[in-house]
Parts: sequence; C-alpha cells; structure tokens
Amino acid sequence: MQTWSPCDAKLMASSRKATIMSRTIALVEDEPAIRANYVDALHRYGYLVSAFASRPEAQRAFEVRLPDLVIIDVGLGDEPEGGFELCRELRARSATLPILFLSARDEDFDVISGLRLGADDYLSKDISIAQLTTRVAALFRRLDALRQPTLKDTVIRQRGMTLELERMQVRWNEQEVPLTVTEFWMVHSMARHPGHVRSRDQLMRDAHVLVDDATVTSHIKRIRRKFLAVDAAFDEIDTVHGAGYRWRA
Amino acid sequence: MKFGTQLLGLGLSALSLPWAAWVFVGELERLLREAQEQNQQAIVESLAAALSLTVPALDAPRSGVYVRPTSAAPTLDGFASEWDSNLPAHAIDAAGRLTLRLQALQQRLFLWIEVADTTPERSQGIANDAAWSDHVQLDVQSAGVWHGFAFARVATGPLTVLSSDGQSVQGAWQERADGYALELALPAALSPQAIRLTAVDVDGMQRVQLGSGVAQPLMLPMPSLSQALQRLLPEQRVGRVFDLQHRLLAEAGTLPDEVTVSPWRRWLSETLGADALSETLPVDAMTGSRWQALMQGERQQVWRLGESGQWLLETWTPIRRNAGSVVAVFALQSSSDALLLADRARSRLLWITLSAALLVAAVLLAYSFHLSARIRRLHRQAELALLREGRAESMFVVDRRGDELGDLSRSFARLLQEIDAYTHYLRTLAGSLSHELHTPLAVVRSSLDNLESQTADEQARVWLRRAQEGVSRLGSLLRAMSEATRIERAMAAAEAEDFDLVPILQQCVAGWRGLDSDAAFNWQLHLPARCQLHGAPDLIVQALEKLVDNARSFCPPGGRIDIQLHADADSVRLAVCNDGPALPEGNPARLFDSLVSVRNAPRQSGRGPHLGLGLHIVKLVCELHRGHASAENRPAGVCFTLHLRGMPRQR
Repeated sequence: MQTWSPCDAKLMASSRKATIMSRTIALVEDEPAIRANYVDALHRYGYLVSAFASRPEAQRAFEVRLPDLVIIDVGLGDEPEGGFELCRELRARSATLPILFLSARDEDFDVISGLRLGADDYLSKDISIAQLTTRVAALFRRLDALRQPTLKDTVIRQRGMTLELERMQVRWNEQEVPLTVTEFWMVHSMARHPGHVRSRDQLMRDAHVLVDDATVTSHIKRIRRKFLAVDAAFDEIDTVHGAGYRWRA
Repeated sequence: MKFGTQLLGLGLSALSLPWAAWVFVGELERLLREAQEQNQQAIVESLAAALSLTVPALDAPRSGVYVRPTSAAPTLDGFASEWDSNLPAHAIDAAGRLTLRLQALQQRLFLWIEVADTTPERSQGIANDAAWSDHVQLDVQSAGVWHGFAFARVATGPLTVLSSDGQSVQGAWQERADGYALELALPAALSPQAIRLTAVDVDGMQRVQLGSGVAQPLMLPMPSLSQALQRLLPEQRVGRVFDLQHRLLAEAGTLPDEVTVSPWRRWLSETLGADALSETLPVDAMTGSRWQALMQGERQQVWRLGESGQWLLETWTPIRRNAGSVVAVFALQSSSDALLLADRARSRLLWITLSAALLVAAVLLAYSFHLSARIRRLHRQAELALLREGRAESMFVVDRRGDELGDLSRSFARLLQEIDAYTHYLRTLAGSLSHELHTPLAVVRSSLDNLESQTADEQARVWLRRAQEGVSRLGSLLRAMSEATRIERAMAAAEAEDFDLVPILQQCVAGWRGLDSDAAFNWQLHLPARCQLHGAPDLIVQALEKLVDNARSFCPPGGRIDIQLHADADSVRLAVCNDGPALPEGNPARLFDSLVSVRNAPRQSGRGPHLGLGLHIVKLVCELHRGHASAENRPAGVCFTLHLRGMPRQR
C-alpha cells in the first residue's frame, strides 16, 4: 500500500523528470517572486529551468546556447518592451524555437504585437501554473511531432480543414494556417463537434485560459482573419449571438 | 427676475433725470416770476402816483351811459351773444323795464335795448301805425339836431328804419317771453351827443309809457388820458385806467407779440399741473371780491395766459387823489420775458435730459444684453461641459477679458479641467488598477499553486483551496475592471457594417432562453420585421448582454424580461425592461458612468461582481453609434434603452 506524503510527491517529480529527458526552458522575468515560483513549478514538472531578470543577462546566456523553450515577460525592468526585442532576436536565430509571452499587459494591442513577432502564444499573468505547464507540454509535444514526420497523429478533417492534434497544426485547403496554441485549442474545441455551439466559457476552458468575453471575441476574430488570409472565401465559424460560436457542420 | 430685466429697470431709472430738470427749472421760473412781480409792482406804484397828479380829467364828473369800445362789430341779429356780459346795462326807467347798453366801434354806435312787455300789440304793417302798437321811439341828437326813429313791434327779424330827414338805422328785433330786445347800429356819420329813448306798451286803447329818458353816451376812453399814459408807460407794456365802475378810461402801449407758449408745453403743464400756469385767471378776473378789495385800496396781481398764448402779468392798483379816496384804477400788463426764457430753457432742458436719459437707458440696456449674453454663454458652456463630462475640454471657450466675468470663466475652465482630470482618472482607474494588480496576483497565485503541489495535508489543502478561490475571484474582478478599457480600445478599431438587427436579436434571445435552463424568466420579444443599421453588431450584442445580465440579476424569478426594438427613420431604440425594483431617485444618467453602481441587489450566486462597469460599457457602445443610453422606471419595473443612430459612414 502506498500512502501520499510530501516525500512521495518529490519522488513523483523526479521520476517524471527522468521520462521527459530534461528539456531546457529559459524564463525571462523581472519580478523575482514570480520568477522563483515559476522556476520551482517548472522544476517540479521535470524541466531544466534557467531564469534571467533582464534582457542583456538572457542574451548573454542565449549566445552560448539556445534553450528548448523560452518564456518571456514583455516588460523587463526598465525596458517596457524588452521582451518584444528579445523575441525578435530569438526568432531571427531560430524559426522553430517555441516562445511564450507572459505579461501583465493583456490588451489587444500588446497581444497582436507579440504574436506578430512570431511568439507561439501570448498569456496573461493571471494564468495558473497548471495552465502554463499544459501549454509548455503541448509545445514540446508539437516539437516532437514535427521532428518525427511519420508519427501517427490524431487528425480531424472537416471540409477544407485538416487539424493535426499532436503537431498542433491546422491546414486549410492544404495550406498551413499559423495559429497560436490558444487559437489552435479554440479551433479544436469548435471543430471537434461541428454544428454545436461552444460558449465562450467552454472555449476558454478548452484553451486553458481565463480571460473575459471581449478577449474571446478578439481571439475568434484573429482566428477568422488568419483563415481568411489563406482563403478569402473562408466562412466556417458562425457567431451565434447570445450563445457563442460554432464550426459549420 | 432675469439679469436683463434687472438692468432694464436700472436703465429706466435714468428717466428721473428729466424729472429733476423739470423741477429745477420750475423752481427757477418761480424765482424769476417773483422778481418780475416785484419789479412790476414798483413800476405800477410810480405810474399810479404820476397819473393821479398829471391827469386832472379823472376828477371830472362823468354821468351818462358808458360806451364800451369794441374791437369787432356785433352781428345785428337780436341776440346779445357778441356783447360783453360785463358791460353794465343802463336802466332808463326806474323799474328797469327799459334798459340800454352801448358800445362803439370807432365812431359807430351800437345799441342794445331790452324792454319788458308781456302784452304784445303788434303793428299791422301799415305806415305810421307805430303809434297804435307797442313801439320804441329813439331820438338821437347829432350836431344839435334831433333825429327821430320809431320801431314798431312787428315780428322777430331784421329791420331798417328811416328818420323823417332820411337818416337810416339798421337793426334786428327779437321777441322774447318777457318782452323784446332790439339791437341797433347807428350810421357812422351820426355822431350822437345824446339819446332819448321811449318805450310804449299799447294795450287796446290804453297806452302806457314804459320808460323815457335821455342818455348821454360817453365815448371813452378819454384821448387826453391815453396820451398822458402813453408818455409815462415803459416800452412793451400795456397800461389801462378804469373808473370806479370798471369802465375803461384810457389804454396805451402794446405787448411784444412774438412770444408764445407752445401747445404741447401748455398741455404738459396743464396735465402735470405743477407750475404757475394753473394759477392763471381769465380776462374778466378782476371782478367781485377782487374788485372790492381794489376799491378798498389793495393791490391785485394776477398771471394769465394772453389771447395769443403769451404769459401776462397784470398788476392792478387804485389811483388815489391826494393820498385819499380812490378815484380810478390803473392796470399794467406785461408779458414775461424771463418766464418765457425759463419756459424755453425748460423745454430745451427737458428735451436734452430726456434724450440723454434715453441714451443712457439704451446704453445700459445694450450693455445689459451684452453682459447677460456673456453670462448666458458661460452658463451654456458650463452646462455643456458637464453634460459631456468634460471629455471635450476644448468645448469650453475661456473668456480672455480681464473683468470679473472673465475671472469667473477662467475659474470655470480650471474647475472643469480639474473635473476632467478627475473623470479621466476615474475612467482609467479600473484599467490601470487591474494592470498594476496583475503582477502581485500572479505572485500569490503561483505561490499557492506551488504550495498545493507540495502539500498533502488534508487540512492545509482545504485552506489552500479557499485561498485559490479567493484569488480566482480577485482575478475575475480584475478582468471585469479592465474590460471597459479593453472594449474602449476595441471600439476605436471597430469596423462598421450594414446589418439587420432583428435576426441577431432573435438569435440572442434564443441563446439566453437556452441558458435560462430552469425557465426562471418570462422572455418577451417585440421586434419589427426588419431593422437595418450601420454599426458594429458584436459591440451592440455585448452592450445588450450587459443589460440582460443586469435584468437577470434584478428580475424576480418568474418575472418578465421585455426586449423591444423600435425603428424610426434615422434612429433605433432598443429597450430591455424587467420587473425588478425601481431605480432610486436621482440622476439616471449617472448610472452609466464608470464605477457607479446604485444597486442593492441580492448577490446572485454564480454571477460576476458588480463594479458599475457594465452600464458604462453600454454607454460607450451607444456613443459609438452616435446615440445615448437612458434608464427610467416604468409602472412595474425598470427600462434601460439604447438609442442608436448608426456609426458614421467612412469614405
């Protein structure tokens, strides 16, 4: 018989660490308490975390070696947009490196700026650690899936759309639609049950975010726009006023 | 009372100036008049003394019938209307049944004969039968010769009678109830020295002589006295000498004739009744008690208005012989230059002050309009600025003038600026506060998450869960606070499209009905067939959701939630009504301000916190669509209405 104890939890964490083969995550965050908390949490999930308080510090480390995933705060110390700057440099060096923005600034303008720089997602700081690690895990899973093209993937096909769950990839008429993690999960949430209305609350839950209704609306807007950029005739997402959204059956 | 009216009253008070001028000149006139009266008294006394010494004719006995000189010939019609009623009638007989009055125009003598005879015996019109009817026999002595005229009683009417030697007399007979009157004019050639008058009343065979007497006409005034007076009299004055019977003995001098009182001035003084004109006396004022007083040696002085509209000062004084008995009366008449000048001055002053007062009143009035216009503008601007919550501070035009109103305007501008800053602070408070709180909240949340993963203690887990619940509630509060800011941003980027509001509303209500799983509310929908609008449907739906959220939290279970859409030519009214409790008294528009909440609603489980931001978002959406939001109580419940006119079209 096994009983739960703090000791067991530690054991569990270390055993998980072994299975994930110690991925490296860089955390660039100027707020020491948050930094320490996230480092602890990510450690617990078995990642090797290196934390940096400022952009120059992080840059110096990245010159030596790039981590497997980067989590960046937008405002860094006395650089209100230092995170954006860092993201731009990293994306220039590696097209596949997963980058997550984590910021107290969650206005549309910042979100759009961050995503334009090639970030894989933009998260508000009131996200829980579980939600954060879910994302991190998903991003690693996608990385793995992309490295192994022959991997059997769960695929949802719906008219012109192909959704590969492991690779977190969506193609419309065989053209890739560049979605963030959050957006991918929202599309997945709708496309899994075409014709069914997904309320904003459900979409939030499925995308592992906790935001207000207006933010969900702007997410949907961005998703539509990305599909429209691929195909100007795209019209698969219905707005059901007063209820939510649905993928056309 | 409005400011303009007050200033108007103030301006009208300037009209007291002409009144003051009027009173002042009236006082001046009174002084001038007194001076003139004293001056004239002195002249009159000296003239009276001189006359008593130099005119012996005054002593001569004067018997006979006084002939009053006249300026116009009376019409020969048998009526005494042209005759001076003051002219004493000379009684020929003792009983007074035959009276005679005389007056003369130059050398022509006019007679007025009245006979009391109630028993008419008329002439048959046959020649020389005058003796057998009532008749009057008139004999006139001229140059020592007597000329006889007989007037038989025929009938009322004009007549001409010839004397035996061919002299003719014209006249008129007038029958009366008590007798008859005879008005006669002697020819100018006949200058009478004496008149003998006989009236005979014939009754059948009886002849009664009613009266018979000789009268000597006294042709006055006396030329010698007039000449003496003329020599003594100062210029531009008229002097008259009367005998004790008030008969004119001599007259000399002329009045300046260009002096007149204007009719309006006379009217004004008569109306106001506030000066000497009211004391003026008629021409025949020197009678009765006044004449009696004169006879006893008292001087009399009167002001009167002359026939040609002059001011006349008349001073009457008795002439005494040897400082003893009164032998005659002297009257001096002068027109008043000073008075006239005063009158002219008064008229001019009246006009000048009146125009000045009107000018002052007009200037004051114009100024008051100007002033009240400025105050009104300030008032309007302040109202406007308050209505717009100071959001458009450039709307308030500061008065640059250096006066008190300018100061007030600047104070207002400063005040509005303060209010503006404060309102802005309040509006952004929620957003910035939530932004600032994100980081510490993240610290707490991540710490709790870490703690949870390390703790196996059941009791500690309970507390942890509570703490996490608290944190997530705090998080949703922060999200609600920043939502207004987020929607404001979203609105700035909102793209307008043409859409039909009706299917959207139907969809919405269907959705809400679906969410309302236990059918707690009675949903009512009143829609027109279609309702085209140019705007952002997402935002309108968001605003509507806020109102519906509101309605759901206030409406009692089973209550009605009405959604009504009215489309006018250029605007749309979308009302959400519910059976909830009435809004408190006060300014309903304040409800739509940021961070204002008037609710004491029971906290419904599962609903978000109420920060007073929902209705603020509603208002923002309405303003984006060039409309406004309103709230009012209805008989049972509350109505919130969106007034939308559509977003302005681009291009």
